[in-house]
Amino acid sequence: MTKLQKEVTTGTDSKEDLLLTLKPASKGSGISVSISGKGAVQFSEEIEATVRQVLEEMGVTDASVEIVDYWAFDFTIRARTKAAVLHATGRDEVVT
Amino acid sequence: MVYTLRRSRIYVPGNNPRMLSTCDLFGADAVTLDIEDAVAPEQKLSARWLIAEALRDQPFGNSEVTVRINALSTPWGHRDLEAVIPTGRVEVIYLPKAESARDVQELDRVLTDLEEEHGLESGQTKIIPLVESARGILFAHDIATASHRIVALSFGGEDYTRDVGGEKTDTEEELAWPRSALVAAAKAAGVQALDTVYSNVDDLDGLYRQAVKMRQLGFDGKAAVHPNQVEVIHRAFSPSPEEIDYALQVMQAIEEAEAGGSGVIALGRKMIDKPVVARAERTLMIAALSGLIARDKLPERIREVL
Repeated sequence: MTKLQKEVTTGTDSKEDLLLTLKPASKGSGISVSISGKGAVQFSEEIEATVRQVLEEMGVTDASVEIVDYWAFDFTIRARTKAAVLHATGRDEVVT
Repeated sequence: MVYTLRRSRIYVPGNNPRMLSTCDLFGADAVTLDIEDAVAPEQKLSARWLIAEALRDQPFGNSEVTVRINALSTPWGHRDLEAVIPTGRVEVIYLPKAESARDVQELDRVLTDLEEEHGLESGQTKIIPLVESARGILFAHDIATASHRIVALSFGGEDYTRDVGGEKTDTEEELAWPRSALVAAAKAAGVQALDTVYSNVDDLDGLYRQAVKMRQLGFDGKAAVHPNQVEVIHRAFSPSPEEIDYALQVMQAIEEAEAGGSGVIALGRKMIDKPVVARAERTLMIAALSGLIARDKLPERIREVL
């Protein structure tokens, strides 16, 4: 199990990117994902599925994720989620 | 003789998702996904993973896929490799600020370990050292021969100028010597020589003139920082119709001399010696790979190696 130590935001508000805020959550509370932004209406299910998959692969079981989407591609969603986890767990260097 | 076209390579900042998703549209011979100079220290992690994830499923067209990592002496270089190499998609690693054979050998060792660990073919990842300091230029031949993975040396003009305390001018005369030294070192090692960027993206005529000069100096290609520069660079590094025609005449003269059992080869009143033949072969190779001449128009000895 991967424990998040702090709240972190990754990404930008540029086109084809997203802003992703990852927050620690109490043990056993599971994963909650909220999505807003331009691409949210059409692709929120796909975005949420991608985020949940990356979190699962990285062993995160409890977290709150807030996303503002600017039509990000799948690879960007995966990368931003991964970078957020690595930073929030202190497993890699500073990230913005 | 197998020749890989590396007329142009375009830098793509690793922290820019939009550019990473359009690499296949640039038409460059190579794309260089950049985690080094184009990315601020606090964005290295994000850029590294954007590139790694883009490598997994984004299209790159016919472009050679290359990544410019951070130097291995920085806190980021090893992590860059650990993120991108497992994708199996990286054809070339650009090693910045290469100053010695040891720099290249260290990268070679790390690549060998990662390729083995991730089930990749040993040696499949090639290396292009970026030579961009006075020390790097002085040891350029050592660098070029430090690993069997090396396919080219690339020159970095901005960093070189800063390193020697010089001043970059419009004519770039101050870079004439290091450029020539790099070309000589690369060619003596049997690898390609690639030139630095032309940073004024609005001056396409100036880019063309400079790129032609670099081709005449012996460079095989030049870096681009904007998609608009790619076509101009291709034009500058492609043989003209007259050059292609002359190369065909040279090859025909050789074939006729061989058929006639003659040891002396002439084209009109000009003797054809070995360097002329080599240049003609190279011209036709580049012309063929650039789509400037149909395959069936090529001499058989060129067709065989394409």
